[in-house]
Amino acid sequence: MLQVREGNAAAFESLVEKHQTRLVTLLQHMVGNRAQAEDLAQEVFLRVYRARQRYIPAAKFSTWLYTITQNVASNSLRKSSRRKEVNLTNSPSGSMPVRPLDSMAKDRSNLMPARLADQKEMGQIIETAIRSLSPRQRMAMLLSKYEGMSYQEIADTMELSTQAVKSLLSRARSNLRDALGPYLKSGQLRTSVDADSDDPN
Amino acid sequence: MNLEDTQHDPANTVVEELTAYLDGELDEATQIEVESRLGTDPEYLAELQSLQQTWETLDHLPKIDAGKNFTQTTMELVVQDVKATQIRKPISWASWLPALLIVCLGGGLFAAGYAYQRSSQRLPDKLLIENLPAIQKHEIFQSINLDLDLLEQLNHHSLFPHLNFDPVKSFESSNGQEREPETTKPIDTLEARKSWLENLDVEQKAGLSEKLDRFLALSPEKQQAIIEFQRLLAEHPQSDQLNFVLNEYYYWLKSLDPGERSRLQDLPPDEFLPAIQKLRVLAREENARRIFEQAASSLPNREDADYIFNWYQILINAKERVVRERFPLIYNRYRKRRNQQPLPESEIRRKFERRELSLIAKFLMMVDPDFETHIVKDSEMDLLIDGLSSETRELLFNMPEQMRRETIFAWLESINEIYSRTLRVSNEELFRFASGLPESERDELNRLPIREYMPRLMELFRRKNSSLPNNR
Repeated sequence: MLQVREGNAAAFESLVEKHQTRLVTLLQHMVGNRAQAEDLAQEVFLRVYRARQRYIPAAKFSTWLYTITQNVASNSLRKSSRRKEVNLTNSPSGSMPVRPLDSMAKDRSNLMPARLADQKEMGQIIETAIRSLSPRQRMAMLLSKYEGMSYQEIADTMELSTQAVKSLLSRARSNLRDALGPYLKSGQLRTSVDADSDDPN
Repeated sequence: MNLEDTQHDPANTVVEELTAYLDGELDEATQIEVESRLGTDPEYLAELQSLQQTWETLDHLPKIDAGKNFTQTTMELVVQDVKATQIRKPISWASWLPALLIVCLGGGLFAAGYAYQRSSQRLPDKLLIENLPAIQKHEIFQSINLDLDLLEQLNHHSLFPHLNFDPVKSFESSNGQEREPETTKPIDTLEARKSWLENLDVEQKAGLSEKLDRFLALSPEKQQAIIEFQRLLAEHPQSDQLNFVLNEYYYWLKSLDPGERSRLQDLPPDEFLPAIQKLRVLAREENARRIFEQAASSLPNREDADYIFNWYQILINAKERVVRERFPLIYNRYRKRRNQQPLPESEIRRKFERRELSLIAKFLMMVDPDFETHIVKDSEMDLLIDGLSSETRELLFNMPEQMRRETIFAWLESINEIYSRTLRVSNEELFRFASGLPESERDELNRLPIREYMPRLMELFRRKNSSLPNNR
């Protein structure tokens, strides 16, 4: 980042390469749309470049990066609070209708009680559960789960108190449990521990 | 700060404590207390386990890779921004000169550095101008192994026709001209190519530069074969049609998973076409099955389906101006995502001004992420929900707001699919008919509840047309 501050193009390019996957993944979970997530990730990198002179080496770069990401995502969600997810490749009509969780659970339990949902279906169920969280719970959860940030780091990133982060994360876990509970109970979703124990090797 | 996030509900204290425990965020004393209670309180332990299990479930979410051109386009974006910033800088020299110098120097160095990085990829103008069509499409040509016979076979067997159930595709292809005009219609003269190249913006130049790099990385023999293939294709009597099929084939091939694609491409020539045919049939069957499953499992009852459809038709018709005004912006964004050049707004308006409103609205519904914000207001959504059966309303109100809206729009898409296959008259035609009714009949129609509007309009339309001579 110090080289980026000096305007080093190659350094900035490697910074983009290093962080793009994590950033796009996080933004995809925040806004629910891949193309938009990429646009927003580019916006984040652009802001990083614009603000490079203001970067203080004492601050952890990831905290600074995700603070910008949090602002960009919040602005975007505010602008289009009722954004609709569109996926042009998943269904013949051009988008995959999002089905209510309970309807999906009913289908599965009635039709295929013994079958475990495959990775794609699991991903879809989990994604829907994540999207049922409030944006702040979602962001706190993503930073904790996927970026491995401590409460203090999340608090710095989201400009909250650690108590507020603690509360956000406990609500996020509780809400996720409510949303995913039926699937976990019926065995349609597996935890990584279950999955490992199913492996014959 | 939202109070909801920080207020302490005693019922949540346990969850909060256990969450902090799982996250390793408790102080040592509290941690010991929690562990002691876990050993004696089975309910407390069960609570911990269920929270932990939920958390572990999230491990199944895959990481999402950015597009392969992500770094490139980001860098171009930054370079553009640096240039734009330099142009916009206020000229208050006395106070700003030192800062301006730093910014310009930094920005200039960055742009120059990046330009230097890319300089090895500078476009050799002569080669590019002479072989522009071949260089632009060389990857598409190679997808078919430069085999014109195979391309003719694909065309002959109609393996890549327009698919009616894809509204975006059918929308673009309904007059057969809009799809990839800049690539299916090569720029013919050297002068025109030169001028076209000069007018490309930074992003487009970068894209073309990448294509050229990949072309130059090929052996001279391969390059020559591509140029020859492009010539033969351009001179072919069915050149336009073959170009269309080739484009379709290329994008279809890209949509296959890598294993499937490689298996297909390794097949001997006599098995190749039947294999494509089989895959295409399977894909169509899968699509049909998916439509049926989705519609059957999540649609509300028939009455509500009618009601949602009527609501949508009336709404879109009333918002024709907004829908048509928004269209060029969204259409160009859609083109951008498919690596196509944007078209001037006036050209888009001219090309699509006669296209049916319902088709344009459907296109927006498919590809505009802000459709609900720009086209459908909250009050209109409330009106829709108020008119639904209590059973459907209850189902909707048990969902979070975001999911509620998405569910309604998912239903709407499915209902539109079903109705578009069963209605014998286009919505456009119906609403044209409605606007031509005598004022008294129109007023009477407009006073009807939504549920009765479309059936009554259909009835009037049928009655009117059955009394007309059959020369429409």
